[in-house]
Parts: sequence; structure tokens; C-alpha cells
Amino acid sequence: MSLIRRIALVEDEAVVARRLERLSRELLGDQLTSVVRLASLGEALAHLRSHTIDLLFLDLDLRGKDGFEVLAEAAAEAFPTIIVSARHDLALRAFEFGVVDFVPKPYSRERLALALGRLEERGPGQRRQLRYLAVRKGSRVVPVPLAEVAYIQASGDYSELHCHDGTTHLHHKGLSDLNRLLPDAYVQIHRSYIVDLGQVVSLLSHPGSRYAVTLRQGGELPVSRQRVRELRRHFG
Amino acid sequence: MLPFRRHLSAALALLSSILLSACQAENSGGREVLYLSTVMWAQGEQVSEGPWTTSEFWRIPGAPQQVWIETTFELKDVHRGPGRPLGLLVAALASCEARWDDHLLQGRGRPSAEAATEVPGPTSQVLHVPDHLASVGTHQLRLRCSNHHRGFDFSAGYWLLAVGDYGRLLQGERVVSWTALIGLSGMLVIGIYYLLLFLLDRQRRPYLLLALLALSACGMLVAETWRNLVGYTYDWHIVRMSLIAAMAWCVAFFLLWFLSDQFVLRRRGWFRGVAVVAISLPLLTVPLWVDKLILLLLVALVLAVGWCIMAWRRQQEGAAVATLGVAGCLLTLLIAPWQFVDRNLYLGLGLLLLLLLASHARHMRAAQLSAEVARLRSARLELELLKRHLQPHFLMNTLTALSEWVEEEPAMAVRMIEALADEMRQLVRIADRRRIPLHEELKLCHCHLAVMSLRRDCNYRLQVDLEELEAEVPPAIFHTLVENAVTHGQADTEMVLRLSQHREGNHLRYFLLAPMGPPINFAGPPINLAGPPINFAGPPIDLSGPPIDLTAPPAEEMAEPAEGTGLRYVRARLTECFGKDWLLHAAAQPVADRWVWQTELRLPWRGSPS
Repeated sequence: MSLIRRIALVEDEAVVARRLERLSRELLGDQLTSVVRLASLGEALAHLRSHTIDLLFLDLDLRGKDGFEVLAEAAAEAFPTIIVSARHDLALRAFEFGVVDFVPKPYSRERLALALGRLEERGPGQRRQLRYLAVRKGSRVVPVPLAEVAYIQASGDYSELHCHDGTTHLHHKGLSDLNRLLPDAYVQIHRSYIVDLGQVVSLLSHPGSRYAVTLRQGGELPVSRQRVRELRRHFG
Repeated sequence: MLPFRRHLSAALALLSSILLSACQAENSGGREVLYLSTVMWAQGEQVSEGPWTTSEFWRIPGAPQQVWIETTFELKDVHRGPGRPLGLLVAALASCEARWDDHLLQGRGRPSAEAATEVPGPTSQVLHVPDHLASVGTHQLRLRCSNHHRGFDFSAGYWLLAVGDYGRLLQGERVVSWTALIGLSGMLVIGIYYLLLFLLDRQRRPYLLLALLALSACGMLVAETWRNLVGYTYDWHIVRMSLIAAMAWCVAFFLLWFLSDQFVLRRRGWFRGVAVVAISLPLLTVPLWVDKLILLLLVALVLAVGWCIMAWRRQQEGAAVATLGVAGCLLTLLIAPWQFVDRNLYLGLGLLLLLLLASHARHMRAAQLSAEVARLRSARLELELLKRHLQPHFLMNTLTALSEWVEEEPAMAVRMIEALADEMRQLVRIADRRRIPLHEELKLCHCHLAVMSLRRDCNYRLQVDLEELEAEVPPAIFHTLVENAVTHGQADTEMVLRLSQHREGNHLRYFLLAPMGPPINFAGPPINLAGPPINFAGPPIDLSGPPIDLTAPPAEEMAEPAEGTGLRYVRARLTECFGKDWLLHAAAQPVADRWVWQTELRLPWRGSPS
């Protein structure tokens, strides 16, 4: 993950928002250039549609309203989302949308540091409960169930989701960002490919030290040399 | 307490006594009784003074005077068994002296032409006819009767004249008394039982009414059976009849009072007034004692049936059983009205009382059940109220704010802790009460706003304008509404909530106004032209769409708060406290330049229907 310069935080409690901003500034230091506080869902949606940010802190319980609408929007975007909420019971659902971390209130500076650290690493499996990949279609956000996705191909800064039925969807997160959120069954086999191991039939070795996997639905995906050993372990 | 079982056993005791008495078959000895119904009679001091009139015995007028009665009859074998004594039954409201073929029969009481010298005799006596006079064949009977001690009662006073087996005549007098006695004992037990229950728990008025009803019925039956049981001289008759009438009036009164107490319907006071007049009128206007009683009981039972049926139609618990009891008693009366007081009264009243007990037991059980449900609901509401303050949104945000102050501004942290402690203290003080004074409720609201002001860095205030400070409200209803307004409303630096209260007759009308957002800027924010990229391949954008309705509340942030747990809590509390006598209406209203969430409450000023 590159530098985090612009943060948006969606929080309706002034003092709580102040704490989040202060701790973020302390933890991220000089790289942070702007922090925008958004006190309502409406403001949040409007801001996300018109501004580019590097990280979103989101409270899921705003003025008695459910923050999942904002979360679905955010999940379709390139930036990562960290949930900071009192509603611990919503954590599982939030992870299904592919959030980086869920920080329960109240939290310490250390806990927030841990969450920011997770932006750079692939967390343990139980945190990666992603089940939907939110995809923007025009002005709408459509959740694509992860179970339908056979493999993901890099497409510039974005990713292209290839489904079993042959359809493709463009997702705004990059391949490496997605890799941090995807469950263990999804393995990056190439600079440009992540594949669902359940869909892999065999590992082929082509002349010239080129490797490839064949997929259940047909077709081959290239495998980079560094990943071959790892992949072989999977196939025992 | 298990009243149903107790009622059941009491009812069973009564039922068995009724059944036992009903089994008392009338004794038919096989011999016949000769009723001497047609007689000749004349007034005057001496026999010779005529004129003689022939009529039925019971038609002889009852005005105070001396009367001579004569009849000749044929005594047959069937009227007396061999070797058995013969008797003469004289039942009349008079002192009578009987001469059988010119032989004086020994009896009580002595007639006279003057009131001073008359000795009152029993209302009914069986005179022994000596064996040597009781031969088969024609006999002459002569009675000399006087009734100077009858009092104000001038209704018919000569009832029955009969010749027959001495023992049989005596026994016939007793049959009625036995049956009534058994019914009587059952009612006495019921009466005493309910009286004791009432003395143990003075709150239960139905017990007292049932006890008085049973004891009045007892009194009536005692007075009714007094004649056969004990016997008395005829001058006491008027006393006894007055007692019966008074007791019958009490039975009617307590019956109607009990029913209108148990089944609460509209215009109860009106019904009670009419009932008292209606049951009193027959006593004052109808001449004959029997007619007085029958009419009184008839009126009372018809009114009772009417009331019970109305309660039944409104599906009140126990009304069906009560209707059955009252209607059964009415039926017993209608089947044989003229024998009701003498013979079927105990049966009718027993049935009535039995089913009233059953009805009361049902009613009690239903009442206990609903009290239980209400207690449970109260406990649940209290729990809900306390739980709301342990909910993550409130508790965790407060703790997060506290973390911030502890690190950055410890003095503020202490203020927050104090404000929070104030709110919690007030909350715990009121949570387990069903209603609290308004000022306690307002204190809770202010405490909550103090906490929220600190947390949100915004000045929340509540302005109150009250007419009746002494009013009482269920705990935390305004607190809940204020909490909702603060949660849903949007404010940057200040939010002023207004609570007003006006008296309207026996009700208080409250208005709580909460601004839903900052003033609406009709010029609107500048349109962001840098918005998301327009998809030119898409359908053309319809610019002729519906005009923007500036009078409608803005959809997004200021949409009305859903009927969440907060409002549900308020409704449940109001129902618990005021039954159906309350009104809650909440809606967004444009006030001046902004949208305001207005909650209107109409509550009874004092007391509650329960």
C-alpha cells in the first residue's frame, strides 16, 4: 500500500470523531494531508462519489441508521475501509463486504495502530471473510457473490472478475488490495492473476519453464515461476 | 392464593345440598286429605247474627273482626286409617276455636269480639279430633275466628281447612321446611365463607357483595321457613312477611350491585339508580305479600339478565356463566310464579348463587391472569429501559469519548463521568416505578442532554412550558422521545427542544418539538458539476422530471424516525399506565424555516381507569 494521504471518517459523535482524527494524525504522521469528518450517511455518500481518498473509517451505527449502504458503496471503491463501531455484532457482516479491520469502540491508540498495520499485510484467515465483491454498475453498486468468481485478472489499476458463467465485472480495487481481503482459497498465481484453487484442475509445465493451470470451466492461466513451488504444495 | 379451587369447593358444597333437598320426595301416605274448601260464614258477635254467606274458605275477607264459619261434610274411610288419630288443619291469620259436632277441640289461641280479650293463636295448627267423634259419616264443623291483631295487613287471611290423618297433616307441614332448610344451610356456609374472605382481604369488594347476597338469601329463607319450622301466633305474621320482603329486597339489591360491580359497562350509575327504584316500587304499590315478592324478584332478575347479557356481548369474563345463573333463576320463577316463594325459591336462589360463584371465579382468574401479565410487562419495560443504556451505541460511544478526554482533557473526562453518573442515578431511581412526577422525568431529560452535549460537542437544551407541574407520567417516556430527537436530529452547535403542556378538561396535552436539521437553505448547496462521470452511452437524462417539492421533508437525513424500540417503549408504558385513555401522534411539521419533529401526547390528568 502506498502512502495514506487522504482519510475520510464517517462518525456522528464529535468527540469520538476528534479522537479518531487525532490518533490517525499521530500514527500516520506527515504523510497525512487531509482528514475529512462526515457526520451523516448522506454526507458520506456524496463525499465518496466526488472525492478520492486513500482510507475510510466508517461507523456502522449513525443516528440510528444502518451504515451498510455506505459500506457497500465503499467496498466497490479502490480505497480500503476500516470499521470503527460500537456494534460488535455487525463485525461478521462487515467482513463479508471485505473490510480490512473492525475496531470495536472504545479503542486505544495501539488498537488503531494494529488496524492501520493491516493495510499493508495479509491478515489471518478468520479476518478474511469476504463473500461479496461490490461492483459499480453505472450509478448502482451490485454485490457479486465471491462463490461465482472463478479467477480475477488485473486490469490496469482495477481488477476484472471472471465468473463461472463467463461474465466479467470490473472492480475498482487493485489485485494486491483484493489479495489482502480474499479468503485462503484464493491464491495469487501470477502478477496479474488470482485464482480460486477449487477451480484448478491441473498444473501444466510448458516448454521454456512456463507454467500454467487449467480451469474447471476450461482455459489456462499463466503461473509465475516464483509461485509454482507454493502451488505444488497445494496439490501435494 | 388459589381462589378458583376454593370457589369450586364452596360451589360443590352448595350443589350437593341443593341436590339432597331436591331428593326429598313428597310423602304420600296412601290416605286422602279432605279439604273443606266451601263454607258458610257470617260476621258478628253472636252466631245468630247473620246474614250467612257461602263461599270458599280463602275468600273470607281478612278485615279485623270476628267471623263465624260453618260447614257440614262427609267423613269417609279413606280419610282416616283404622286406629289412627284424626286431625283438623286450620291455617289462618286469626285466632280460631273449632267445634266438631258441638264439641270444642283443644287448640291454642282464643277468639274474641274485643281485641283486648283475644289471645292470638298460631297461623297454622293441627287439632286432634278425639276418636269417639271421628266416626265415618256426616259431621258439622263450626269455627269462631277473630283477627284483631293483624296489624296493617288486610290481605286474605284464611288459607286452608282440612281433615285427615293427624300425623300426615303434621308431616305435610314439615316437608317444605326440610327442603328449604337444606338449601338454607348451603347458603349460610357460602355467606359466612365469603364474609371471612372479605375480612381477610378488605380490598375485595365482590367477596363482601357475594357474602351479603348469600346472607340476605339466608335471611329470606329463614323468615320463609320460620312458620313451618317454629310456628308463631298470627299477630307475628306481618313481622315475618315484612322481614321476608326486606330480605328479598336485599337479595335483589346485592344481586344487581354485585353484577354491576363485576361487569363494568357504560351508564352503570344510571342502571343502579333505576334498579333501586324498580325493585322498591313493587313493595310499595302491590297489595298482596306474595305478589309484592314475586314482582320484586321478577323485576330484579329481568334487570340482572339484561345486564349480564350486555356484559356477555362485550365478552367479559364470567358473563356467560352469570347469565346462565340469573336466567335459570328467572325461569324457575316464571314456570310457577305462585309457588316460587313457598317452594322453588331455595332452588332458584341456590342455582343463582352457584353460578354466580362460578362466574366470579372465572372473573377472578381472568383478573389475576391480566394482573400477572401486567406485572410481567412492567418488569420487561423496566428491563428494556435499563438495557437501552447498556446498548453499545450509547455505552461504547460514551466510553470512547471518555478515552479521548482521559488522554487529552482529564477535567472534561471528570465532567462527563459526573454527568453520566447523574443520568444513571436518576434512571435507576425511576425505572421500577409505574408513574413518576413530571419534574423527576424532566430531570432525567436534562441529565441525558447534559451527557449528549458533552459527547457531541453541541449544546442540547430542553425548554419547558408547563401548566401542571404536579402531573404524573410513566417513567422515561419524554426521556425516550428526547433521546430519539437527539439521535435522529442534526445539529452543529446547538439544538433546542421545546416541551409544552396545556390542560384540556381532565386531560393534559403535551407537545415536544425537536428540530430535525439546520434551517433549510432554499437556494440549496451549489450543484457539484464535478460529480461522477456521466455515461454518455446511457439513456438520455430526463430533465423534465417532476418539480422538486420544497414543502416535503427532505428525504434523506430528516426522514421520520422509524417506529423503533423507543416509540414502542413509549406506547407500551402509556398503555400500562393509562389503559386506552391516551393518544400519541408524531409527525414532521414545517415550522418557520425548518422541519421540526413534533410529538403530541394527550394523557389523563389525574388517575387512571385501573
